[in-house]
Order: sequence, then structure tokens, then C-alpha cells
Amino acid sequence: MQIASVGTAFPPHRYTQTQIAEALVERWKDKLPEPRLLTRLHANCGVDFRHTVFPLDHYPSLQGFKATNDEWITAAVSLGQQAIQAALAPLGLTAADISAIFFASVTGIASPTIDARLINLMPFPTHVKRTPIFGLGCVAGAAGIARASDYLRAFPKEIVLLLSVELCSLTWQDDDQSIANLISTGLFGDGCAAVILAGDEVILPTQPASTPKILATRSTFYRHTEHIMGWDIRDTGFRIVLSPDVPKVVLENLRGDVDAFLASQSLTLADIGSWIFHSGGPKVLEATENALSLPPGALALSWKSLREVGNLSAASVLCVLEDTLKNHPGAPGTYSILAAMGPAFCLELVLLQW
Amino acid sequence: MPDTDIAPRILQIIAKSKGLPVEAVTPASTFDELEIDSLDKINLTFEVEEIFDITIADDSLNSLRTVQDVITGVQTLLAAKQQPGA
Repeated sequence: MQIASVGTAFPPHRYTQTQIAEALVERWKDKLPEPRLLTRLHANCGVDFRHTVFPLDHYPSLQGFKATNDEWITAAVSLGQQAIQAALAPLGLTAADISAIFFASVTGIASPTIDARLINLMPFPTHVKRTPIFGLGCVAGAAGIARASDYLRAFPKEIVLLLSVELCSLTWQDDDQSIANLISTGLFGDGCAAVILAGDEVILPTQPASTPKILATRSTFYRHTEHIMGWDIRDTGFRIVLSPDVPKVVLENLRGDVDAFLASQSLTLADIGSWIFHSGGPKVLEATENALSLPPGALALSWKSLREVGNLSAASVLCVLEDTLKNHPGAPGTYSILAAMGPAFCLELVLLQW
Repeated sequence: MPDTDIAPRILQIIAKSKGLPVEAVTPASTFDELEIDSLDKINLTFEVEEIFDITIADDSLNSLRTVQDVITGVQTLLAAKQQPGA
């Protein structure tokens, strides 16, 4: 099966990293013992700009989980629709051509889920199969592609949609001035990505010039690492759990797991032409480069995405994938690895061939 | 403060912050070798700012990789402070 296209959508408000830091310092002026700790952490997140659902001065008026989650639902539906249209249009497809939807987010919850609400707005078939995914966090972009590919192995005549909406600004917690939250408010941004995947027997109305096929995937679970990353869910919403040990887990595990995965496909690191990695943050990207002994620039698109929109959790790796498809496709026959890590802690690897 | 006094003072600050003997820290030591992470680096810059009465730009931390980078940065900021009109 192939990854046929990616569409992205972002909220209308876009700010520099300095503007966001200044707004949070003002918002928390009575709570921050040293405001420069926040500005200094934000200045070193590798992020230059981020989109936000609301203007920055609106956020202090959003109080409590219900208010923020209600706004998450409204914005997620709107952005989801835009991203899906952006992904479908270049292929000459409409929502009516989609047989299954995988929806991933970790920044809000809804039932009926966001995909269900979109079915009422777009001409998806009423028999479309839905798989909403909550809780995989940053790994869900890569894991969503992997699960969609599993589905297409069973149904090679079908076309599926993976949609990820992450609105991290709606998870900011006023009562948390921990280092983890100061970093989190500096690193994570708002955005949405939709991916269209087509089974091996599908003939698309408009076939893109160069798309990658999914050859294999592998999930890896690191036992007893629940403390590394996730949410501590409270009455006020999602409080970040973010350990400084994340780069260490990458350094200790990534190389061995990538080598083993590639060996299972009779490949080695030297066979990989490009890397499509989740833009986790400077330390995670540096640890990835070091663990895999990557040449300079190998993760340039991940660094670029981080600078331009921040870490979008599950949607990040899909934004890097979009940039790769549109501007840096591989030469025919070459291989790429698409990968992300996230709460559990865990790793998802996807082997692509152009 | 004379330039010659800056490096030993910075070596002392870093050694103390990491609980190391001062002999274990040299200008060539990298932050990775000394296990100085991002947060340690930020705390270090706060301390250096206070001791030398300088202001380090928030976005300059990623360029600090070695102890010598800190020494050079402090020397540059102190020299700029002594310029007329600074």
C-alpha cells in the first residue's frame, strides 16, 4: 500500500516564541519565582513560531477542563475538515471514497469522537469504519500509519484516512509551574494533519508522481517506563508528565531497535536514504542523531518543522512526512524510515520504499 | 575582574554545582562529559550572571557546549560592559 498524500491545517493565530513566553510570564506573574527561567527554557526549545487556537490574550479566560475541552472539540472539527480536504483534493478523491478512519489525538476527548462529527459534515460513507485513538501521544502519528497499513493489508482495494489533531495550547495548566510544564508550554504547538493511504489494488483518479510504499512496521514497548511521559489527568485537565530521561531512553534503545527492525527486512542503516522523524525537541533530535550516527542534516526536516510550528505531538511526524512528499521525495527504489516515540515509553518504526 | 581570574572562577562554579573536585573541570571539558543537562545549564547561567554582574541572552544557551564557551562568553560580555557608553 502507498501513502498517497498528506494535508495539514493550522489555527489562524501564529506567534513568535518570544511573544508566547511574554504572554505566559504575564499570565503567571504572581506564580513564577524567576520569570527568566520560563523565558530561558522557551528560548532553548528549538522553536521559533507556533500556531494557537486562540489569540494569546484569550487563554486566561479559559478556566477548567470543560471549557477548554469544549473549545478543543470545536477547533478539532474545523481543522480536521480543512486538513482532510487538503489531503483528498490533490488525489481527485472525496470523503465518499474513504472506507476507514483512524483518528488520533491526546489533547482532548469527545464522544461521539471527532471523526464521527466529521462524518456529519462531509460525505463519508455511512458504513465507514472508525478507530479513534486516545493516549498514544507523540507516537500516534507513526503508529496511526502503521495501523492503517495493517488494515490495508486485509483490504487492499480500500482507501483509508489517518487524521491527527493536536491542540496543545488548550492543555496549558495555570496551577503548574514545574520545569516540565514550563518546557511543555515552550515546546508544544497546535496543528492538524490528514494522511490518505491507498491499498495495493487501488487506482487513484490522480496518482501523485512519487509516493512511498509501506513495506513493514514494528512497535516496541519499553517496560516500566510509564514515568517518562504522559498526562497526570486532574480536575483542571491534562497536567504534563515529561521526564528529563527521554533522551536517555532514546540513546539506550533506538539504535538496537532500528538495527533489529532493518535486519528483519535484510537491510542495514546504510540502506536508508532519508529519515522522517517526529520533531520531539532539541534533546530528542540530538539523541536520535547520536544514537543512529546520522550524518549532518539527516533530520533537517524535523528540525525545520520544530522551528516553524513546534512539537505537534502525533501530528508532527505527519507534517515532516508532508514536507518530504511535497519537497523532498526519495529517488525510486530508495528506503526511508518514518518513526516516532511517545508515552509508555514506546517506539513505532515504519519502513518505506519510494 | 582581570581576564586571568575569570576562567578559574568559572571552573570553581561548575565544579561546585556538579559536586566535583575543581581539578575534574577544565576549559576543554564538554557539558556532556560533566553531565550538565539543559536545566543545569540554565541554573549555571543564572549563577554566572549574578557573580559577574552580566546578562546572558536567553537564546544563547544552545551554543554553549564546553566550559571554554562559558569562559569566552563571560569575557566577551565583561569586555562589552567596559566599553565607553556600554
